[in-house]
Parts: sequence; structure tokens; C-alpha cells
Amino acid sequence: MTSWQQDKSELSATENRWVDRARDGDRLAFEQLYRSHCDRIHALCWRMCGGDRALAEDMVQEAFVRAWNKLHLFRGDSKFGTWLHRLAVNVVLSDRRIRVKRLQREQEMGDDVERTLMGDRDVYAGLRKDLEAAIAGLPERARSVLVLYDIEGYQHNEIAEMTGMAVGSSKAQLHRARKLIREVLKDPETK
Amino acid sequence: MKESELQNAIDSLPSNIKPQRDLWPGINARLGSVEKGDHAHHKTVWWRTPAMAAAVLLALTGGIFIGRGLDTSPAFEPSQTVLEYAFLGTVAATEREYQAAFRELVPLDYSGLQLEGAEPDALRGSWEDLLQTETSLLAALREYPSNIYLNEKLLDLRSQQLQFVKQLALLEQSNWRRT
Repeated sequence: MTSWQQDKSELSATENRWVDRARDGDRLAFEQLYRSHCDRIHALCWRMCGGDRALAEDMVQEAFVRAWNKLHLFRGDSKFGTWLHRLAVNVVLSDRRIRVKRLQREQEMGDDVERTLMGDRDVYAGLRKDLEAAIAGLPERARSVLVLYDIEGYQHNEIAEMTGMAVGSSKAQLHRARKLIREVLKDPETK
Repeated sequence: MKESELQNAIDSLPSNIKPQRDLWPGINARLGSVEKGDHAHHKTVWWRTPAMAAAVLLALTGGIFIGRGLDTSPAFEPSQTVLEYAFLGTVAATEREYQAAFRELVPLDYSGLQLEGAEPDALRGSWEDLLQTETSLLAALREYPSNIYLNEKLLDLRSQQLQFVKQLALLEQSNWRRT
């Protein structure tokens, strides 16, 4: 076993101990889990929320609170980080569904509305020569699929299951997202 | 832009982004209002009671053997074990007391205290110092959970923190009266 593999194995064993202790109600152990995974979960939420910092922070907090509540359901079949990551995606998507429903009640859905579901941001703020900004400026569903597939490494069937869209739609949204990003990066003035 | 160039650019994005503020206090405050599922409690209870009983029995048996002058392992010191066990019990009790006091502190929202001059910063600084000590101590205790010296230090620290929390509660009360 290489030293790298040994380090990884020790890290995993330590994390399993934290999970066991947190499951028994040990908040200090849960804090260690938070410290280990916070940055990754925050990156996910921040991108999924289109760069909305306050909303992303809310989502991170919600994800960890929900993880604490559901920790007894975590059986260790996968790594804790994988389980937590999936849970965070569900938190963001379910929050979005609530927002969509609220918005639908207020006005009819349209493409422009879809772009502003996460708040009153400038919908064209993403049109800059910056990839993060371009991703943030994508329409909701296209952005979700791009973040989950291209950045977080989920497969289309998993994304379809999480978002409730068809596998074909997931692929189409990814195609659309990439096309929009290419246009934005090529010509920042594109609208 | 080519597809491959875009893919490379996406691949180069960081998978970790640190939040601009520490989100743990907010999470911790919310955990206080959450009761964990029965499953966790049952899981704890079924092994802890027999384990405690076994430890006490072991200590008592060891004590009896030594009292009768029988040969035992030189490294095994039952009376010390009992004392240590009692001490660790005290640490655990203080820990619970501290957690309960801290839960009460959070709704007080000490950051919003309308104190004058440099008081809020001084308070926050003192609290941060205590938290920093706590982090180091807990890290050491994770490696040596039964170390008496470290547990004594934790006991001292928790006493200080409890004192701090109580003073904050008093400050909050007087602040409330003033406003």
C-alpha cells in the first residue's frame, strides 16, 4: 500500500468514526464532518444558485441540518461525502421547486422568468468573459444539468432522477448550456 | 470556442469554494432545536449500559483481587481506573451542562448586544480565544480520549466557557432592561 493510499484509508476511517459519533448525537464530531465537506458543498450550492452568495449559504446550512436529521438513515453503503453531496443537490432542487411554484402562482412561466427564479439578480450579469459568471447566468435547468454533469460528475440518468426531467431532456439541457456558454465566452455582448 | 476548450475550462474550475463566513454557528444553533430520531437513541442505549456495567464490574473485581493480595498485572491499577472512570463521568456531565448553556446562549444572539465602546469586540475576541483553545484540545482528545490531563484541561475550559456564557446572559438582561 502506498503512503497516499494509506493516508486516504486513514482519512476514511477517521471520517467513519466521526459519522458514528455524530449519529449518536455528538455535535463536535458533526462539526468535524462539516469542516471537511463544507467547501465542496458550498461550491456546489453556489453554482447551483447562480452565484447568489446568500442563497448558497442558506442552502449549505439547510443541507447540513438535514444531514444531521437523517444521519441515522446513512448506512455507509457509499462514502459519507457522496451521500451528503446528493442530499445537498436535493436540498437545492427542492428549494427551487418551492420557488418555481410560488412564481407560477404570481405569473405565467416564461424563459425570462426561468432565468430569475433564484432572485432579482441582473439576468444578464453572466455575460462576461468569465466562465463562472457565464455559468451563473445560464437558465436554471441548463445550469443545474451543466453543474451536475460537467462539474460534479453525475450521469444523465442520475440527474434525471434528481431533477424529475427525462434523460433526453437532461442531455438537451446540457447541449443548450454548453452552447450558451460558448456564445457568451466568444462574445460577451451576446444577449 | 471549441468543445474541447470549453471542457478543459470547465475541468479547471475548483471543486471547493470556501464560504465567505463560517456557517457552522448557524447550523449548530439549528441543531439545538432538532431532536434526533429514536433510532439513534436506541443504538446508543443498548451497548452503553452493559459497557458501563462491565467497566464498573471489572474495576471492582480488580480491587477485590488486589485486596486479597493476589497477583495481578502490574499495569492494572483498579482504584485508579475507578477514579478515572468517575472523573471522565464528571467531564461528560460538564460537557452536557456546557452544551445546554450554549444552546441557551444562541437565542440570546450575543452579537446583537447593544454595548458601548469596545465591549462587543472584546467579548467576541475572548470568545474566539476560548473557541480556539477548544478546537486544539478536542483535536488532542480525539487522539487520546482517556487522557486525564487533557480531560482536566477540558473541564477547566468548559468552566471558563460556562462562566462566560453566564456573564453574557447577565449582560443581555441588563442590556434589555436599559432598552
